[in-house]
Amino acid sequence: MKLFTDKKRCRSVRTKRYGLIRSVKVRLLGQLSDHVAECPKCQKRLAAINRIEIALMLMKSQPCKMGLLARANNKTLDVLTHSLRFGAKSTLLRQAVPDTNRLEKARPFIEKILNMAACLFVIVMIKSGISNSLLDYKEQGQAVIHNYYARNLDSQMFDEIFPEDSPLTG
Amino acid sequence: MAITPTSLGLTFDLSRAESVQKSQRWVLVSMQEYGPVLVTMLWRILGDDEDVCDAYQDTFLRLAHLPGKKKPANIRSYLFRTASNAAISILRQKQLRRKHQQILTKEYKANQNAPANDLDSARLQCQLRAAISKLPDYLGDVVVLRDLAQMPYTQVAAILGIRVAAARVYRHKAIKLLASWMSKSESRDER
Repeated sequence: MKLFTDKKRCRSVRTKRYGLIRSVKVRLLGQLSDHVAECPKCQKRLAAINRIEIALMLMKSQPCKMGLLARANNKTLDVLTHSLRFGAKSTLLRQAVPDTNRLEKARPFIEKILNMAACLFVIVMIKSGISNSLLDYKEQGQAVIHNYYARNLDSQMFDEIFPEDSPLTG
Repeated sequence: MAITPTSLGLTFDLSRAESVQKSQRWVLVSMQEYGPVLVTMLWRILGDDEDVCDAYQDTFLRLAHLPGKKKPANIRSYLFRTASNAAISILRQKQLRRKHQQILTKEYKANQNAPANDLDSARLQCQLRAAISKLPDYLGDVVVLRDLAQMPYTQVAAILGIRVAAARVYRHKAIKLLASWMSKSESRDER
């Protein structure tokens, strides 16, 4: 009986839809993630769907060979009627090369610009003293933690945590 | 003496050939326009050069030899549907051949049981291709056009002649089916 009610609850959580009132009243996304955290079946389902997405991404990420388009065009033109085979356009098609999009073409330049921007950012950080103040904050934070432990722990434990401050090591 | 095709030793009528060239020039125009996208889509579905060439050739042959040499109302839609169907039928043929080979030799099984990385990309892609070939046509078309041709849902719906919401639902159903088949085959391999 418990199994049946669990199944029913699982399905109801999975198939709930966002309505105008529901989206305000209930946090569906939170409910769903809470449910997935404790439901092994849903975890399996999600893992399987993620596998599909990964496989699709892998299929998409594999580039085809440069000459494939020209080869496919050639093969196709060879079986078309004589008139089409020797048309003016067919010579162009026989040498066709896949056109990469502008973003792909500009990628090396974009990467260079991003690298330069990162270097500039670091230089600006150093020049303006932001990195120094960050170091100060870090040191101050460490000092606060140090004091806190010094006040609340006995000396033996304190020496174990911060051995460099112990009197034995100097 | 008048110059005729027979006197020139031609096996076809020159004037007829000229007229065919003019009336069918749109085949070459569409090849130029949609060729690169089609090749990319076919490569993603099939993952093999020879198969891509075969499916591409098949698609344009069908286009050029439509009954009555008529131009389809929506060439783009016709091309993508035909290419996707041709590719999936090639996948199915390959699956059948592989099954047949499996029966003849038990080698494949032995290779599959070898300790392999869980995210072996080639194996994962092979499994997905096999699963896509098993999908019913109406679901397979949506996955191919949406995920492998990377078209927005509006275009997928326009090509398949369905509503955008239906395309979304079909994709969801297809992914669920693929996931369940893949996990089943995975658990079978583990055993």
